[in-house]
Amino acid sequence: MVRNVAERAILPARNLLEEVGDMMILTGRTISAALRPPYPYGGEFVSQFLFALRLCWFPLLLSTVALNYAAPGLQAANFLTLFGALDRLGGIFVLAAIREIGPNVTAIVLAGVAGTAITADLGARKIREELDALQVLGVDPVKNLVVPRFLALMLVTGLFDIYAILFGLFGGLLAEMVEGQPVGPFWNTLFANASTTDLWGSVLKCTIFGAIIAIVCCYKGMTASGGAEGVGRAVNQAVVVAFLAIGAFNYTFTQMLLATHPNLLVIK
Amino acid sequence: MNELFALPREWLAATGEIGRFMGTVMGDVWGGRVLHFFGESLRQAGILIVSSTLVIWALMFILGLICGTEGAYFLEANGAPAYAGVFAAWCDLREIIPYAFGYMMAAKVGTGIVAELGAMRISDEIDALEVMGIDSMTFLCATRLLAAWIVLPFLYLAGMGGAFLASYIAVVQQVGFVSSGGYLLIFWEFQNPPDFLFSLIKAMVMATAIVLVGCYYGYNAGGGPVGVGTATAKSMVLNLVLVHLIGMLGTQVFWGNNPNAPIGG
Amino acid sequence: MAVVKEEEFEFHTGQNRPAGVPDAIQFIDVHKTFGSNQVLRGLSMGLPEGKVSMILGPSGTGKSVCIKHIVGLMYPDSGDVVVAGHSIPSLSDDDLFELRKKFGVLFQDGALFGSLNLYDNVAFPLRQHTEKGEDEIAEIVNRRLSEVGLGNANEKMPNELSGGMRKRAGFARSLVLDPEIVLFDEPDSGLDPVRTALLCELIKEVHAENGGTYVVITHDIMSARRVAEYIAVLWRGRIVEAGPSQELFESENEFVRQFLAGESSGPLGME
Repeated sequence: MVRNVAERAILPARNLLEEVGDMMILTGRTISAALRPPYPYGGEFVSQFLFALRLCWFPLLLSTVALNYAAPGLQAANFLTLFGALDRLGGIFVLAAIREIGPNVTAIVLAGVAGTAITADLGARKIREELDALQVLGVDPVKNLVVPRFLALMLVTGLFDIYAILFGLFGGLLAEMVEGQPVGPFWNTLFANASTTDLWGSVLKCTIFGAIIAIVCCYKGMTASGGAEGVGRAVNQAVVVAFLAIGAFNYTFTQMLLATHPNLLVIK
Repeated sequence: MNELFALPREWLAATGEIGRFMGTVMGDVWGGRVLHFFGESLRQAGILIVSSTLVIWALMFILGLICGTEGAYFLEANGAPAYAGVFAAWCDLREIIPYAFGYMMAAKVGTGIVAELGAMRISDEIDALEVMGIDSMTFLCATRLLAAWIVLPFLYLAGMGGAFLASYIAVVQQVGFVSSGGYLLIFWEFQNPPDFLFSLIKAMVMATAIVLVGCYYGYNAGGGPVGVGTATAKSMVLNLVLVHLIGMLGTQVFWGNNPNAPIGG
Repeated sequence: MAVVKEEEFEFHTGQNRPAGVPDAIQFIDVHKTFGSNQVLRGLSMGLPEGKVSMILGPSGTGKSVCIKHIVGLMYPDSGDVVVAGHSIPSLSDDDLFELRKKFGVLFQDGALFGSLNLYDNVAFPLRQHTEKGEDEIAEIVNRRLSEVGLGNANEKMPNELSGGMRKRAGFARSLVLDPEIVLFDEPDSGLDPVRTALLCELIKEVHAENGGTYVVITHDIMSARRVAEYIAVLWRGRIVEAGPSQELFESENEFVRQFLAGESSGPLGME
């Protein structure tokens, strides 16, 4: 009985640790495969990059505008109205749109849209035995499939971060206008408080999110099991793991950035 | 250029069909047809509790930590560290935690439903149900919606408690610019039961949309295991957009012209 | 609508040799199109009551679509499907569900519910549709399971069973409500010849014991020789010829002869 309970508790935990370990190994293999010649993945890189671009631009647009308009826009405007300091809204958007919401929403949308598509695609290849066929033909799936997705997703997530920040600010402006305020003070406080550290921190964070998404989604796709439910289940697990990983990494990164760059905290 | 607009066009084209599907399932639940399968609903509720609660709470907890951290540093920078509670209260209750709940619901429950129903569709199990004289839409979709409505309010409220705790840990224990009592005073001052109710409504509308979208994509899956995978991925896209739109509309309606705060106007 | 080329149907006499009993299932000039693909193109046939009928035909001629029309999972674009005196397309949903309780269907891969074990799968229709107590259900389920030779696999989950076992379990499940009409969707697909032969024997035995109208769709001639009492040959969405199996095996029709003998030369090519 005790043994039974222990097994039921320990087994999932051990499986989880094994998976995390496998993902680490895949990361290592991906990086080394990316650096060592030859470099056959150029074409696939471009097509994956365009694929992610095509798939994500619209959901990301809707998401960032909606989120920034509502959360930091309306709510913070509510708060600032209480003090009659609505011109300060721009300052809040440094924290909201640039430091947090921009990268986080980009990561969530990229994981939910491009990541799931990658898992579905690789999962389909896995169960059609295309991956086995590649290996039999002497082609390394990591180098030819994972590396281009890894690089493409890192690049595209980093770039989309800028896009998300721009449309996030647009959402903020929208809120400012809905409150019936001139937009000049919004820009003033925004640029007074924004710093390049904030921007590179945001882009760096987002690029690493891209790497996390790529590894998790490729891993889940390549290990999809057969059967009717296999690929769907793989996609399901991929987004769950990716979201948790994004959240956990975000927490650590924010902590580190804020603690090591105290000048970010001075309000101007 | 055409390819760029493939997704929006696809959604527009499917709007009517998805709407009709959602109407039918909701009708099954409201009209009580789902009660024929109350046992199955309870079973689905059990599955939801056992398999999804912990991950949903986990993401809510993590984002609670982030709300706390950002709030503590932001108000310290403004010279009012004692007011970190306002930021945490609003960030948790009104905005970020409902989103966290929506994200994880879409990821875990929404795609899970697509994978499961899609597999049932392609292995003829749904046809088998129909042939046995069972209304498969009621049996599979309406029971899941009812199960979600039974379980999720409690799951959400408990998760919100977890997020409050996480913010407290971040602000008071970790960053430590403000004392425990000072933080809690402000934190509780700046929220009230209507806020709580609005937040719950927002989350439940999200959850309903997610379950229905999941059922739609799963129930109408086709094209073998590969088709199920694609349908799962597609459902996630639509769900993410819906979560954000519902969040925005909720904020606009509930707090758009009313800060609902204990000071000022 | 593509133009119907008459030469496509030069072997389709549509001749129906009477089987001597009334028809349980009738297709009346049924058309069904998916996109640009015309699957059924004026299908008319009758399947006799109380016999084992077979719908035979090359792959991709709409045999599975026929079964879906019979149980009302699909509706014809035009024409009518009459089952036990009811016109399927004009039934309301509730009446259709009621009528379906008289059906048993064996799907290609058994279509067992992956989340239930073998016993619960077979007990499922009884629990949903009857007021029987657990004892009575257990009695019926065990009898049906041992009838198909799965007497001691009650606790197994569907994914632990072999393809042949899944089919037999699906067969048992389709029988528990004592259906008047049992439909088989390619019972021989994915089975080796011996297992196919055993399954055919099983179908024959169960039919001898329980009676009822059985409809089997297949492209396997060996199965047809073993179990069929009545055969309808389907090609390009229409009946080529139909009749009692003995008469059909002796048919003069060139297509029927080629198909039933399994020869490579004749009207049917690679296409």
